[in-house]
Amino acid sequence: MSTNLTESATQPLGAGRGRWLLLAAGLVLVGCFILPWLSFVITADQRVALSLTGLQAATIGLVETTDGGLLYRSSFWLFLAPLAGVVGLALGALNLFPGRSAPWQGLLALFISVASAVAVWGAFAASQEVAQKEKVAVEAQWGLSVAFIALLLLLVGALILLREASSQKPAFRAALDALNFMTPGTVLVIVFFFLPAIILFILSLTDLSSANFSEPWTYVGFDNYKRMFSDRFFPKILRNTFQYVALTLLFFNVGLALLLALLTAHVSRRVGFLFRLLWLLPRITPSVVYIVMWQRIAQQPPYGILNQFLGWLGVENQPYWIPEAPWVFVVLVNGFVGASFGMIIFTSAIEAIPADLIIAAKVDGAGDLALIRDITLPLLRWPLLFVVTYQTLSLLVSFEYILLLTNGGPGLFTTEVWALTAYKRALQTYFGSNQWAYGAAWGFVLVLIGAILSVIYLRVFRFNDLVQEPKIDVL
Amino acid sequence: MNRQRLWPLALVIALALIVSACGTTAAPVQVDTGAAADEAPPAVDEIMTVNLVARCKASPPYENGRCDNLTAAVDAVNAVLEDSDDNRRITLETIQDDTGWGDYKTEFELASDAGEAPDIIVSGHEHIGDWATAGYLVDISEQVNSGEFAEFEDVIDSLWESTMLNGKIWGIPQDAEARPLYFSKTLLSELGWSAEEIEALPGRIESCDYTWQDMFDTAQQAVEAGVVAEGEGWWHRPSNGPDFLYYYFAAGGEIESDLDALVFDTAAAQTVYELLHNAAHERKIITPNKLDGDWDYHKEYTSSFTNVMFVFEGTWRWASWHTNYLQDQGGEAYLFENVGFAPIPCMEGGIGKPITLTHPLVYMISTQSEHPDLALLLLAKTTVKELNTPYAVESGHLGILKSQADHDAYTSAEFLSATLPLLDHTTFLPNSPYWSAWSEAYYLGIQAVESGDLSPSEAIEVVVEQLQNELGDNVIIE
Repeated sequence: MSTNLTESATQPLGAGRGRWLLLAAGLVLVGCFILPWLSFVITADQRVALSLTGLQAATIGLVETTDGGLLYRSSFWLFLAPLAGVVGLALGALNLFPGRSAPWQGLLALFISVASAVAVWGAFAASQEVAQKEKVAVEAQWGLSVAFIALLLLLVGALILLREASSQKPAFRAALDALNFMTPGTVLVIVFFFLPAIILFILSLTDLSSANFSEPWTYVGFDNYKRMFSDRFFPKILRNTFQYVALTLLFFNVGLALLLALLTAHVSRRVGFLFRLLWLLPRITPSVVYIVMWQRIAQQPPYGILNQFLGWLGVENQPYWIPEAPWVFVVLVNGFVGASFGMIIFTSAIEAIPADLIIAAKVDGAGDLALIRDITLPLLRWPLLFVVTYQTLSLLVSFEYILLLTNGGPGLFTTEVWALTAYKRALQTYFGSNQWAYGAAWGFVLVLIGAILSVIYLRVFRFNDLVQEPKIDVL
Repeated sequence: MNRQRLWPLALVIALALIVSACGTTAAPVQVDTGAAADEAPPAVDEIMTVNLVARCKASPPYENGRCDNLTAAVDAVNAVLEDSDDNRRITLETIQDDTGWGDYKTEFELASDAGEAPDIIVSGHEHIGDWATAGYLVDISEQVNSGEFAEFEDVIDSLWESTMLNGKIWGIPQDAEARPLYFSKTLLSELGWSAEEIEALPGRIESCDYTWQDMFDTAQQAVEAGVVAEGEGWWHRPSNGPDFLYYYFAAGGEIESDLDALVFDTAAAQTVYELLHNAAHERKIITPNKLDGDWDYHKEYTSSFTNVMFVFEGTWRWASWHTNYLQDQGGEAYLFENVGFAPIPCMEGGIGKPITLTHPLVYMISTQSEHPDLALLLLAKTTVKELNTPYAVESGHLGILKSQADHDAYTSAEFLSATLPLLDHTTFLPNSPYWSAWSEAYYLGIQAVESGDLSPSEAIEVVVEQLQNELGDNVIIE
């Protein structure tokens, strides 16, 4: 590695190759986009210009037939592609002079090539529909494909430029290496969290709904948020959400989980294993089946299992129990599923407690309860905090069991939680009046609450300190 | 030269070539089909097969005919094409779906937006409000009115009303039904009604001699006498649906206006809410939790008519009851023996007439269909009594054709003949893009008063607030 570095410093890797790629790609891109545009300006005949290379479609917009005429739908972001061509040419030219390469050049080329490749890709996808009707759009697709390949070449050129720059500047290289290590995780977080969250936020600023689906989105500012906060059931739903999270967390996801872990860790291994396996069953049962089971347990006679037993005990007037005590069922149903997660984490943590500590405590005369209180629980601090944090966040956004069990009822928003409201507004109505944008506003607030809670948990409970000082393993 | 540094480059270029090749080879093929469609039919010997796709919402097995009838009409279409020297022949792919209306509607909208809509979709007529407005449906007024298709002349005139928006026709009626009051003869006689009194009940309802409130009185007596359990005197459906709109109509409410808006009549809604509140909390003839969405339990529990005295249901439920739950008790014969039906009784202080509601399903053609003419021809060949009648009989739906009135297969179906007069009292859902939001708000009030969470006046306040919030200028509060 080190020889490689020195080698690189004296003789830059791939010297020359990067700049030629940039120049070639830049030339193709500029040619692709600017020449046909010029021909259009000169001939002023759209059809002639279009059929010259088909690339007008890319600069002016895409073609669509309406009543035999041509309609131009502008794809604004395509301007990035000729711009990328210009940047490619400029950087390639700059690098013809020795000693002119710098990290920023690679980064700039990287950024612009990725951005315009996305734009070209989008234009290509959008032209599919038109291509079925209009031949020029097919020609445009050829042009777009050429542009796409040129952009990929530009991307490669940018990467080579970056390599050259990094081999000359070790500090930059170190920074790049660190970034490289984080890339897979970062990409995942960006693609599956940040991008959806941003799209959700943008969506929540529009009025998109099934009533105006085919129209372009209309920006309505914070109207959806105003509407949400002025909804008279807003406080009730908020209260329900906290009640649901707090009760399920306290009694089941942490409380019962801890109890189960302690109990199953203090019986014989085999029996403990069997019990834990049983408690995993709700988790591995498909949610619809699981809820149907609960509904049939609580159903009226002659269907309800619970009422069968109560009938034998001579209990009369047997109702459908779920609407009678909806909250009990909501917490039970979610808790039975949620308890297994904490149980497994806690059990493994308990089993990882070094035997020396237990033996030493026993020698000092500690009983079972004292052992749990003074040895086990203090050593479970990290897993406890982890489970509390993780389960708070997952309960906050979970709603599928409530949807299937009570659908937020009985009556008016009795068991409706935040995530369920977001889902219903956006996606579930009897006659299909989906208000995607309004639902997105509810969803985005939930994202914010989740993000704020994560920060609070991380800061207040000082996760970092706990991670840096593993209390269990270090002896 | 370092070979390791070359392979990513090679990979990227290869990938780019593949991507661009995919895009460009696929496109010209699509153009060919498009171009072929525009050309005049060439020589007859070049037969071109067109595949149409139809999507139907239908509960198996008794509603299978919604899609199966289309399949059955394919040969007739091809025969017509052959006779007229058209070189095209059709095949049909059907997709039957038994999901909820909301999901079904969303599916079509998303498919349309993605450019993958089926050629034909059968759905509730009220979706025309949203779909025609959004440009998803083909306007077929001209073809239907031109008299080109004799089949369409046979459709019962009043049903075309449900397929119209802004004076244009957007669909072909597929079926119709009514929503009657079913009453248990068994339980009424247990309550001490004589056979004559029971037989006379539908007539009394027709003439407003026996009202909605009288029905509640009877149900209450049944509960008090222990003939039925508390909360089982009178049942409606366990979730939102078109039914609740006829309550509002019965109370004198209007919904459509000349303006681009729907009307919400607070007085009519107040009457409905008071009635429901009274039924659940004072008379105790329906459980406050009836709107729990549990259809399975609802269908099975009501089927025998030994548990619940009065049930507001659809004519199609008749088929569902005897096919699914009463096979070992005699099937349809059991129902005829133990169950009677009538229009929904007059509401005191309301319009002074009995009522019901029809929710016709209609076949619609997507604007994305490449062969809307063939799709329409298929619909014409499906709209014939030979195909529609078996479907109607099997599924408990009413006929849609004038010629069915004296068609043996139809008239010999006792239930259909007996329920056909219900159409005299019928009403429809509005074909309006605002209907959905209106219905959600109105239903919120129903949930609230029946569960007892709000009083009727409080419910009105909440509903009006929600309507104004959701519809703004597109709702008129009266």
